Amino acid sequence: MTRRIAHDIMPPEFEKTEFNQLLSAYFNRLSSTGNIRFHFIADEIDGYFTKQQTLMIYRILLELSTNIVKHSKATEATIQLNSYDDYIEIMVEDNGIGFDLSTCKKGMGLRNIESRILFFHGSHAIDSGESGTTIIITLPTQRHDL
Amino acid sequence: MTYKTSILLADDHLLFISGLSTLLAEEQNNYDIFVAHDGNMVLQMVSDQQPDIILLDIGMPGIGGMEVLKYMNRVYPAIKIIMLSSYNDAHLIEKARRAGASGYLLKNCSIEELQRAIADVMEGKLSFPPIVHLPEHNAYTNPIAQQFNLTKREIEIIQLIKEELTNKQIADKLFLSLFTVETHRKNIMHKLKLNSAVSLMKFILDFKL
Repeated sequence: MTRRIAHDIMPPEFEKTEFNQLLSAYFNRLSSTGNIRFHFIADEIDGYFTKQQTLMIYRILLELSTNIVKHSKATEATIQLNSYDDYIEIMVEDNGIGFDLSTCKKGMGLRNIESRILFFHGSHAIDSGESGTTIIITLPTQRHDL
Repeated sequence: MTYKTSILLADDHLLFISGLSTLLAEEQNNYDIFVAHDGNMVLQMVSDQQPDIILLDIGMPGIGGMEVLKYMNRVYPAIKIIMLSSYNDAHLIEKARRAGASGYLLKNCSIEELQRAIADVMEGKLSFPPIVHLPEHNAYTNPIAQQFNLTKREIEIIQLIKEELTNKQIADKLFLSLFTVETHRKNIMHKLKLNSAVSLMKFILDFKL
């Protein structure tokens, strides 16, 4: 079965809709159709990245939330986008069972996320334990003067 | 001669706007219809045509719907604005309400609902959808949390800072890494617009967190 090269395809609604609106609607849908309550709190990040980069951030968030839905057995998750002068920070927390990084095989999802972070020359930290998992991703920005 | 309500339709989906304009322009409706495809056109037509109402798409590219709304609210406060959107998103609806919209309609509404909204708004009433579910961060009943967009975890950490625990102690107590706690602390300061531990303590005491 062929897999699409995800980063080449831009969904049509992505061009037209404000980034945060799209994500807000996505997390509302996830919350109302599943067992996990998603909280989404975000600063504006439009203007700090190209459209292509913003799409990659979107995909990182989708991948991370899919992982939570599939593996975490969490009841709540919080997704934040915090905007600082030189970088934006993505923080994804869940109150699930956590995972053991040393024994857990990295699926396609985590590898995709890591390669996208590398593309940004960003960094990430995974904190997984008894109270759940916290993933913190830092992506340096290049400001675009609008 | 009966008064015709003058309506400016603003949306970049041409097929949608052409269909809507045809529907609304039917004689029995008593509307005068104008059409704009983007924010710039809206601003231009507002000064030329002086509409009574604007049906304004939130998702227009370029100068977005929200920016136009804010501008209109400031410069032409008498013109009523009903936002149009594909999203029944409580967050967006609240944002539109606070920015001065008189109404908010989903694009999948019926023509009767649209006519009712137009009539209500022309009478000076508001026309917003009933709240389907609370915006995510209203689940935190603490109004400070809502106002500053603090998460549950951040409030929890603020409580522990108030009890004068060190970052390491907080990390151990909450089963988090030190880096995670330090990051939460940094974000808390950022959201509260504070820049010292002292000012954080003062904030906590002032707001009785």
